Amino acid sequence: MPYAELHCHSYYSFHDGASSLEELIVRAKDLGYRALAITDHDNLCGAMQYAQLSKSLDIQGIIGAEVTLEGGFHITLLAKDRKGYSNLCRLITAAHARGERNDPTLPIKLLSEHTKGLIALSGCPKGEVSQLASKSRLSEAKKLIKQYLDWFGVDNYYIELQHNSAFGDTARNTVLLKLAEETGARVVATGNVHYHVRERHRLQDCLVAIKNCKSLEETHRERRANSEYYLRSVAELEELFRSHPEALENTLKIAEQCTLDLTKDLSYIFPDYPTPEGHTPLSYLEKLCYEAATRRYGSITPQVRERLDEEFKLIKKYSLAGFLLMYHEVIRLGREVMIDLGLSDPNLTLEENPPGRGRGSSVALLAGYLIGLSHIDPLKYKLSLERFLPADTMSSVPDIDLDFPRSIREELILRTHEKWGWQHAALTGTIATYQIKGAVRDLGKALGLPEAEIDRLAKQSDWGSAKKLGKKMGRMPNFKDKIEAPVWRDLIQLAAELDGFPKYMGQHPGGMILSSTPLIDIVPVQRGAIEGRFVCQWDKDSIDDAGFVKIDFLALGALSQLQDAVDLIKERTGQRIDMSRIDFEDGKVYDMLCRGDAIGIFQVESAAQMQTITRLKPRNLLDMAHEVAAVRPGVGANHGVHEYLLRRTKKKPVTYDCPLEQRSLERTLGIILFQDQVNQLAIDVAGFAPSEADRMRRAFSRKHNEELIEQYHQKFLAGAKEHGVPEETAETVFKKFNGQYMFPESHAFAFGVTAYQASWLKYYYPLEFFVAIFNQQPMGFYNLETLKEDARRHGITALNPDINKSKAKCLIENGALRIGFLNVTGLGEASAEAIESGRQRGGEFKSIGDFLERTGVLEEVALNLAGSGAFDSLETNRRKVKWEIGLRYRPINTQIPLPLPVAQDMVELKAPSDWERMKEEYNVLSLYPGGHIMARLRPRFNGGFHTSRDIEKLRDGAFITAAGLVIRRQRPHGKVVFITLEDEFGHIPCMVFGKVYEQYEYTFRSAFLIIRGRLTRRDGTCNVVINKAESFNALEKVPASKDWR
Amino acid sequence: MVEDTGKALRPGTYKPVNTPEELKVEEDAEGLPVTVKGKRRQAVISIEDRWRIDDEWWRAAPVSRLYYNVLLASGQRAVLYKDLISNKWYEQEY
Repeated sequence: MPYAELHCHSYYSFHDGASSLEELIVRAKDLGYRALAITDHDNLCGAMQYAQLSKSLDIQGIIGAEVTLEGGFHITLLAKDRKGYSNLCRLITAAHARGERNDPTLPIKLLSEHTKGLIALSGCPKGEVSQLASKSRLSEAKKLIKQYLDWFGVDNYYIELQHNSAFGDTARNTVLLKLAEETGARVVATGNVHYHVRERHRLQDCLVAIKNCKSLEETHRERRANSEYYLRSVAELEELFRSHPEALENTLKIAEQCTLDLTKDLSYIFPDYPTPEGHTPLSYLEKLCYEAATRRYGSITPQVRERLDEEFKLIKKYSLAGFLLMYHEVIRLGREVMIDLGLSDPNLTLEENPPGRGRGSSVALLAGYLIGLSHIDPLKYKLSLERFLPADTMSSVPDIDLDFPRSIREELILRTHEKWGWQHAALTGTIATYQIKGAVRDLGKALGLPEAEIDRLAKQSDWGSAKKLGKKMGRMPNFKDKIEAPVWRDLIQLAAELDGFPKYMGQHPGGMILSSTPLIDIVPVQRGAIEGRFVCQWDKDSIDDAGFVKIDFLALGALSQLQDAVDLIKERTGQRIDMSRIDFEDGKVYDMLCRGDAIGIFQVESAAQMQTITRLKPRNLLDMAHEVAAVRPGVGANHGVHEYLLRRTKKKPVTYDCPLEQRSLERTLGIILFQDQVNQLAIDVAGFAPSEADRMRRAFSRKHNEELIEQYHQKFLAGAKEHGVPEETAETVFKKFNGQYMFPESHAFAFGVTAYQASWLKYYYPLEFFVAIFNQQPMGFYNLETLKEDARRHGITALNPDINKSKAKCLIENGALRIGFLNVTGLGEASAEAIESGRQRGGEFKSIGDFLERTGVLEEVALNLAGSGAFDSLETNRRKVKWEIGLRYRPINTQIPLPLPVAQDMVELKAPSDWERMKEEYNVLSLYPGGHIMARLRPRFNGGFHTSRDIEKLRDGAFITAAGLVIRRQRPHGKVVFITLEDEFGHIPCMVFGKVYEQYEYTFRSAFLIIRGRLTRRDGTCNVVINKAESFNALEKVPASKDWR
Repeated sequence: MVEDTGKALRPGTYKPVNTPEELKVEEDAEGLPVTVKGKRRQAVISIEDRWRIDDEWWRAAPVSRLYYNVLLASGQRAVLYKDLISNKWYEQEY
């Protein structure tokens, strides 16, 4: 007999469901189920993903949820149609609006007001009907059933019969059947499924223990009695319900009623925009564009008119005017925030001082450029509309991310909530998932393993997939003998199962969806962790699938840095630079980049980028886009970077595996650099429709996607065959697709422009460049010490903080960089403000006592200032300064301090040595303005050691021994590890390959290293390939290296 | 109230309550009990209910049992379980 499972929890029932959506669907399909409903607890986090997956895997997917009612009772709700889905979203939203944030409860009265389009099932043993039945409170149970029948109708309310072979199931079902008979309600069999196969019950037990923050031993009552909550065979179900086959038949009756297709039925309409009187959205957009074009170009030139006409035709055809105006509104709001926060001159136009920058295909729109969405003039850079916005993609939502400086983002999010209301503007959700550390900690506790050992294992596990736990333990001396030990081997197995599981739903740092129709008709919205914020239950992928207008309020440190630098230049020179109008083809700037001088430059400063840029040698913005795009995991996975560089330097010819690849890959020398090219290949080689090609590309990055990918694989081969492509060739092309991240071409272009702008500033205005980057920390790939050294190489000196000259942030002083108070450990905004205002009121500080009295800073703050050299202008002996602080400091309390003399208590103290001063500066500033530690240590590393300056002159293949401070570790997708050492002369870029890395893995974590290896020189790059490493100590507190996966 | 036996408590004089007692059971092709050999051999007339428990799988001796509430030929009811690890049968009050 056919069957549909109508009560099933996926892993989006956080810490309760123990299988992924794909595992459940594939298993249901294998068992011959007609349909499968996913009914997670009080959320629809997985609903869109499920709809996409079930469609791709060709099994009916029903959207539902198990909702918690007042009193803690459960009820199962299934959406029949669009109205039912909308009601379900509203009910879940209402449940989350009450009570504690993570404890939703729905008032039963609201249920009665939202029944249309829903089918209700009485629920699991926690359902109220089941509870009453189990307690033999039959008249109350009958009354309740009749109430539900009244609300939902006899065709839309069923009593759930569940038999999971738990003690009491048979008795309860007997009573429920009798109640059904007496009330006229129908019955339906459901599985109360929590995992796809029996063996997964172990993980489910652990999840329950984790949810209760206890061990398995302590959660005997909370855990399920047995392993019967899996997707059972139809034969097993027939046996269980043999005396009531109608319970199984009714599963199909219900499934037939559920016709909702979430992939199509949302019917999202681009938001309307309330335009001024006399205007439509399109005419208003045209007005804004023409006004801005006149300001920008002086007049409406024929070129401008022709382009705008072309764009307005498409905008009108696809009703995009309201969509673009909504983005414009957000940009305007951003500008208001900047003016209110004193970060922008209100006399400037929007385009002269844009608060943010757009990324995405919008960069190709002249209309976008004119209304402040993008910072790139598409006419100047000949960005064809067709390339970036082909006509067939305009029918779906063009993606636009907006990057804002950090300083305005928080306020902008709150104002957007306020302006549109939480029902129309909500933050994007994000699902945190289990990786190795989290899996070790949570499972270790659940399994009752010794806390100290679990802590050690978690710390040593570093990062990455929990599937690798066994392998990692095998390399750890303290754990390798435990791999086969009881309970520890369970930990390894369960960690592999738990890998990638959702842990909790949080809010995306900046993604926000806007809708003119209520959002809560489309996706449930709940309160965020931060007061005043509201989060929808879908993550970025689901939102993309739904085609929402999503704006990413991304806080880009680089934008803040550029903004600051431009302001500093204006302060110093009186000239405001329009960064959109600099010379984007300045050879001197490109020369600097080609030398690898890219520290502090957005997108191109990583080790891998610096290795590439010296070989790629960009000379224009398109080259910059290629540079930015090339060093991405998705390109590296196919050895794409290496191959691209060989072709670009003419060491290899440009070839294609198939002539049909040429259209998409010609501009990147036959190599996939951009994710759009994956789409284009699917279209050109295998005849995919654009939307299907996009779904295929996105399927690669989904978790637990093996079955789905195989389906696309077969479709691709079939399509390629129809296009006359031999199977072997089609396989070769398909193998180039992977789930690792690649940039869209338009993003890469936008980022390439920003990277160039940062480079231009570094070349022409290094002082402002470095002051800005100091003030925007933390950001980028380097710590302050390295940035200081790079500044020094560019002729910029860093000066220690000074109580009479510094301000809170770093500033320019006579062509040097004066370090600010906020760079001193323990010194916050309040103390910085106290020092500045003390100086403002009473002039410069004349003595230590004068400083302490007028500022009221804490003793620790004063001592740290002393250690940083901030009092050197008054007294160079920092030990003496500290002594005096100790004598004079009086904490602020109710007693008025007496100005007692301390001269009699002053003693002669030896001034700290240079080494001691340096140590202390590293301690309190995390940098040493006066030099570099390796200069002090050089006497230890003289004989037989090379410096970075020596290495520059050595030939390929030379043996190297060097010592230095580790400033960076980078591991682009698990292949070679890049480590950069720094000495007093510069950097020593190193590479470490697999076996050597494994052998010295823990040594490489040290702050100071001595390395031995061979120098390799290839196409302008230079690396030491390490074959031996040892660590050494030098400082208690070391400037932290920046480590990147 | 538990009757005072007057005996002194000594180690070994206490035993856990409701200890399962092993017994021989004949099964049909589907593994269901058909005959119970306790003090005397009796046929199983009907299986009134069945349930399963799985627990303590992380320990050296996991628990995995299929319980049957059966009606025997004598009219007596009994609760049996099959230990799914050892495949032995036991009787236990429930």
